[in-house]
Amino acid sequence: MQPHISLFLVDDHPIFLAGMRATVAAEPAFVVLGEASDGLEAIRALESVDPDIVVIDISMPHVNGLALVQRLRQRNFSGKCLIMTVHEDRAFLKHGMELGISGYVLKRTAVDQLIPALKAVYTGGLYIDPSIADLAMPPQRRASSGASEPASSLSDGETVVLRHIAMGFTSKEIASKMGIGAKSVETLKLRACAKMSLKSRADIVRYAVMKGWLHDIN
Amino acid sequence: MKISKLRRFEPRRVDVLVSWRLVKCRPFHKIAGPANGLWASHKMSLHALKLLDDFWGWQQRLLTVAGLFSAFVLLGAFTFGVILLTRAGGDVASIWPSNALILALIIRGHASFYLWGAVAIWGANVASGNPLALSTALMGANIVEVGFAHAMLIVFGLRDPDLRRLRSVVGFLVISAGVAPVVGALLGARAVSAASGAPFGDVVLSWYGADALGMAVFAPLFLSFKDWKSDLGLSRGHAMALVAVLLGTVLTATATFAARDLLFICTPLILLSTMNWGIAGATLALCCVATAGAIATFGQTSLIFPTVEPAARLQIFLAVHVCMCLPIAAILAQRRELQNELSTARALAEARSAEKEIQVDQLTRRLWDVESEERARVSRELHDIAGQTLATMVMQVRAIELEASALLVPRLVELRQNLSAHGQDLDRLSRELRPAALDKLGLVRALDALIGNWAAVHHIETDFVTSGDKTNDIPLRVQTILYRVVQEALTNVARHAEGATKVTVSLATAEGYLRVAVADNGCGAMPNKIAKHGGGLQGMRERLAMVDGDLDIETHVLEVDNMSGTTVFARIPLEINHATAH
Repeated sequence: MQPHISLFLVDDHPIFLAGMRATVAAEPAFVVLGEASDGLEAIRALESVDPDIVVIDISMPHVNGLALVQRLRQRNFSGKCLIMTVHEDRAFLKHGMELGISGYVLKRTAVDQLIPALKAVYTGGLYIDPSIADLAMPPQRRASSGASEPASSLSDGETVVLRHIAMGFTSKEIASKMGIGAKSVETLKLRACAKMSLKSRADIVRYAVMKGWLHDIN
Repeated sequence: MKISKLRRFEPRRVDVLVSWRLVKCRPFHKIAGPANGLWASHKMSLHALKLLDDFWGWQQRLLTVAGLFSAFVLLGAFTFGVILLTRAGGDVASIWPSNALILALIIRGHASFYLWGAVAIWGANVASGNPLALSTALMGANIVEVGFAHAMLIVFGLRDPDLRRLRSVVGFLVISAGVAPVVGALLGARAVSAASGAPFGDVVLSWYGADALGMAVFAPLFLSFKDWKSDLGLSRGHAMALVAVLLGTVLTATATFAARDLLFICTPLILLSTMNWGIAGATLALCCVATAGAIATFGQTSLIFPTVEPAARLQIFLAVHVCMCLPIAAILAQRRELQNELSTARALAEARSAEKEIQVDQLTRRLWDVESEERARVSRELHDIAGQTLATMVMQVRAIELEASALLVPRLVELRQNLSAHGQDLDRLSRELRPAALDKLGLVRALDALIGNWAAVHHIETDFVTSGDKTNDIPLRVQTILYRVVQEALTNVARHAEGATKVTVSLATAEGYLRVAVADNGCGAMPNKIAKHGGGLQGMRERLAMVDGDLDIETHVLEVDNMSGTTVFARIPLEINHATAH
């Protein structure tokens, strides 16, 4: 006898909601505890029921799916969240994962993916729809450290120049800020780059990140 | 000092004699200012000009009775003076300005001066001791001469000659100074010859010379009164300079005439006056020379032609200079008028094009806003309606699949897969139109996803770093523009930056600006390639300009700089955008 897996479905499209209900109804392991058609309604309903998994659409009126996940997390909701959406966007997937979702399934593949996803999530796994699994992989970034060990330390002027370059200032702007000529800025930059073996602006930025010069906006 | 308002009358309607009484009411004394030096005289000259303007003002077509009366008195006194000046020689004057004044008054619409002019000339002649019959004959000759000149001017279309036109000046000089004096001379010489016994031919020639010069020098002066204001430019400096030049002319004329007869030394002064003050300056300077010369030649004229040397030389000098300076003044006036028209037209055109530019700018912004809104709407609908419906249809097909015969199932599965593929296309299309993440998750997350996708597609190591304050409160328009700029810059990197293996995108808010820099470590030849292939730089610049932002590019070539790559910088001021956000 399989354990009952309790579900709560949140979607503002009634027909799709009905389709999901029909899909899970075909599996005896699942029990649908309730449904909601927007985020606010879901928050209210989830005060009284405690499902194992909440299936959440992203585009919804009032409170969207990701905001709903955030709110549930703030309320120490113990169940797991599975996103069920039409958005095949890295931004939503990444943000969702940051919020601690357990699964991300596309609506267009739901008939095949919903049941395996629910099962995987229930057992504590992370389930990403195979169609967009590549989006979950971090892109090729920061593969290698940009700067090697410095041969000597940077002067104050060189530091200021590198720092501003990393922040997106042009050489002209840096020159007028420091009250020196554009040629002098170039010289400082090239000297600093030579010292730190930086071969491009990308290297400079990477160096700045390593140094902790950039404070993240978020 | 303010001039008390002159009482004005419509000259044609008011009988001069009837309104004579009113003349006494005119407070003439108020016009004279305190006589303290040049400035005072300048003030006075201002008032005098104002008065003259009132007297002669063609545009207003109003004339004070006082003005007409003073003109009459002036004419009489003037004529009397000129006769006295020549009386010593007992002959014809070296220059005769009375006819010019009468003609000018008549041209300015005061036909009554046929009568008053006749009275003045006759009176002056009688007063100076000429016999009644001779006075009457001389008066007749002068008035006929004026009448003839007037009629000829009308016939040749110069009823109101505009002395700022070269053709008018030449025509006026030919008719009034060239032809008309012949008539006066032929008529007047008879009487003079009979009275004095001088040979008729000599008298005709003397008379002609005097009248012709009088007309040529004085008539333009009187006629140009109405242009004085614009020609002289009534500023203090101008008035001083004019007075200085005229004084110089008088002194030079007197000195040269008296001393060694080097009158031509006046020429530069007359030309200077002409160049600076147009027809008014020319006629004033010539009058100065004429007056000085007439006084200098006092008692040296004769009825026998050729007249004695100094007077003849004065006449020749004046004749030459009138024929030279008046056309020059007219040409200058015409040129100045053209220049004025040109500059007015240019200013107008500039104002119009500036206005157009603003309109185009506004339209561009509006167009872009409308386009963005429309894109956002279509993008939303693709997701929320088409995408959702497609997903629902997939489910419905699946439901049919469960009940369908085994024969149909493969085809239904294929249909489901097709629908699913369409769903993917719709999502891509929607994201290209406008990424939903930009609206729902903000600029940073949207850019992060964009850059991640780009890196995955092009297999280029890409960093995205951010620094500074939060970007949440940045207007959506600015966010959208920055997003598109980064998108375009990345496209350029993929297309043109050969050998790029690392790309860095940095987003920073610093010192009032939102900055984005997209840097690659490619060959550094991107700008040239963009210039050749026409990348989206212009479009990026235009978009940024809509939110007062700008674009800059830096390149490094390995061989030269020991580092390589191209960086595209975009920056948008934060403050202004808050203000103009809508």
